[in-house]
Amino acid sequence: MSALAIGLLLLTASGITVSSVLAFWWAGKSGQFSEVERGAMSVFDLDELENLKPQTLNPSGNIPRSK
Amino acid sequence: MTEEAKLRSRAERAEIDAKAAGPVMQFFISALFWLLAGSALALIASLKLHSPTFLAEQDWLTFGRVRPAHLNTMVYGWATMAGIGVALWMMSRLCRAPLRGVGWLHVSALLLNIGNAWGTYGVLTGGSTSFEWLEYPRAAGLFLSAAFVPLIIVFADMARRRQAGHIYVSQWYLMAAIFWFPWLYLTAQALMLWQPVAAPAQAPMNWWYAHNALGLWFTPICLATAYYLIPKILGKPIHSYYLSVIGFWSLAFFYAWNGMHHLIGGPYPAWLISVSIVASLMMLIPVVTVAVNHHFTMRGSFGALRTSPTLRFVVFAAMSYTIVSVQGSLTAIRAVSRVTHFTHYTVAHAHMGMYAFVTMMLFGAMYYMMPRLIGKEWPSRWLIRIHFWGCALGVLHYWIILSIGGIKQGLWMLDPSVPFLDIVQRMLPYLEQRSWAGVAMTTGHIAFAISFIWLLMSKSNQDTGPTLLGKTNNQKSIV
Amino acid sequence: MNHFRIIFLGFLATFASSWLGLVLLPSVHYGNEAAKLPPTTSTAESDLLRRGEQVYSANGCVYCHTQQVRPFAFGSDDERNWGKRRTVAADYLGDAKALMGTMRTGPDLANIGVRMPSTSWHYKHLFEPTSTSPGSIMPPHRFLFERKPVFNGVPDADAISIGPNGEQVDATGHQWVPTADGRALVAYLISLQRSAVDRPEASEAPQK
Repeated sequence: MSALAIGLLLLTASGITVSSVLAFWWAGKSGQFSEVERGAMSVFDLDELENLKPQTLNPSGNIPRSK
Repeated sequence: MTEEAKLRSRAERAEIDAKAAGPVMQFFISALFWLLAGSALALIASLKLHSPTFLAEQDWLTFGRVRPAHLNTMVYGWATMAGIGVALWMMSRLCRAPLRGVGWLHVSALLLNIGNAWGTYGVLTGGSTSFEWLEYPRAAGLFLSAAFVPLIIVFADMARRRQAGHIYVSQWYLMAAIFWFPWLYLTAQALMLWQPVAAPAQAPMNWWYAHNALGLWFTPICLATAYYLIPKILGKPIHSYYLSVIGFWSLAFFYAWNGMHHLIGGPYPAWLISVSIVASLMMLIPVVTVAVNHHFTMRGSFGALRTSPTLRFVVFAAMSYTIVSVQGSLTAIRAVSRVTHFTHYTVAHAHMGMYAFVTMMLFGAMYYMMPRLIGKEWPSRWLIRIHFWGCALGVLHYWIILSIGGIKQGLWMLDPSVPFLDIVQRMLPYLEQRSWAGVAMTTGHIAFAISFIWLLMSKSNQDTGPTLLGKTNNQKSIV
Repeated sequence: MNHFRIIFLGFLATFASSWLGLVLLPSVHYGNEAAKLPPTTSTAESDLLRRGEQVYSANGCVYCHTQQVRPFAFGSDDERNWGKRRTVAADYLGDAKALMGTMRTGPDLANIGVRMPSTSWHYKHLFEPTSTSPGSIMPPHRFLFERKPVFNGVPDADAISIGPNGEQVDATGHQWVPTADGRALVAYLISLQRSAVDRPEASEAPQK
């Protein structure tokens, strides 16, 4: 394979890798991964929330840490 | 929260279901047709392997054409169309955005049907491309490709209109699938059929495509389904949302490099094969996180399996996902591949994935969705039971018998003192058992088709409540 | 996670990396290798072989037969006389289509032209596999043959022997001869001698 082709491929590959790593770092920093508990509840519609299994909610309305 | 808010929420959901009903029904009915066609082709192919003179006169029914016709109708007819129906509805529900562009979705379904029909006809009449999972003649591929244009637009439109707030894990899986698959398919069509690359590069591309079609198109749709339906049915949120984040990203990272494990021992640079083996083993990470997540969510609620048809199919499928993926990771190890490569073991593995996982999950979703889409309940418990048990026992029998047979076949092939034709003869009982398994599975499909048509034609029976299996007030608990 | 744009970048990045490694890289590499081959001119023979490759592909031979000899340490390909060395990528450069196969319901065919160089054996085998290979489950490929009347009592050179004593003419004075597709396929099969040329990248001591 020609040196130019290898060079271009490596450049593109590194570019993509670097940008995805940066995206991850940004996501972590900006709190994308921290609202995990609210996330799981988002599957339910408003009217379904009151029919949930009682032990899943503590009085403050949040899901307790799983046992 | 107020009564008013609850009513509004319920009304929103009803509107979403009503809007989705038309296109989703078209996809489902089409999918069911292809399921039956594909099952007929499957039985013919299976019978031919132990009775080679069965229907041997006609060229259009020769094994080498019927087998790819079966695979492609199941992949692009049954699983793709059912998967799209499920994905459209689920995305609409999660975005809280009723479907728009319904007319275009009907066009999409029509294009898929034309593509599948043309493709199947093409394969049977000698136009197969001979590339696994891509056998439809390239003209048919144009129809399949075009069908995705309205789909991408409709999905992007729903994503844009989605209610502010959290993006649920199922939504990531669905958006990823609708993005990845067209790229996969167009690349494969272009570089293998329209402007083919050099022959040695075709095999890596073939298996990059085929393996990713399973892992980055069908798997995300079906995992999205499990993450949606299990909480909905049980009334419990997913056990660990954090795990689901890890599961999604590790799937995205590692899956796409697996493809070359189909070519272990083949004429390829060792580094390419080794990378795929490593990636195949790394897949244990997303697979285990998904398994743990689903198991802990289900913990304490396994009793619901006695009554909910949907849950039976979904949980069976989710467990199969774990089993087939762990099996896949282990099979990629060279010492194992040495024995199993080129044998019926691989066929068993493929059916564990595409059937026990993908197909059973799609059945589960259809059982959940249909009553909500058309406002009528499933008419017969017995048909549901025949469907479930025929398919579940059928595929398990299939998998066990051909895995054992395949391993034996592999070991005998490695032993040069066993003449090849002896191996062929010794495999016959296993191949016959596979045909029986196929009969069980097809029986399940026929029961489902009858159930489906009966449901469509029945009068509304809202007052009887959901159709549940198992013990009810005045009925004995049957399986 | 709230932002689709970032998630989207993630899909793109992870997928693009595999696309580069498994699609672009091999295509460019092998494309360059293929370009180094002397240009092939189309002759009657090469057209016949291409047609045979097409018949092989259209009738799904790949679903039961591979065309790749594994490294000898990896299997018993050597002892089964499937090739005097493993096949390497360069062995397939001249093909239009990679027909490597993934199942060995039947034996590997990468070097079938070396093992079975006789056209009449192949015609017999395709017409009725059990006549040459007792216990075979390969389907008969009668549609690659046609039934023609015999002229002047003399059957054609490649008429199949259909009778119990090797007769080529049946009771009504007809014979079975291969069609053009049948001839092309057999020509292609006999041309399969992938390990015939020595290649340095294939060297490994055969394990006995």
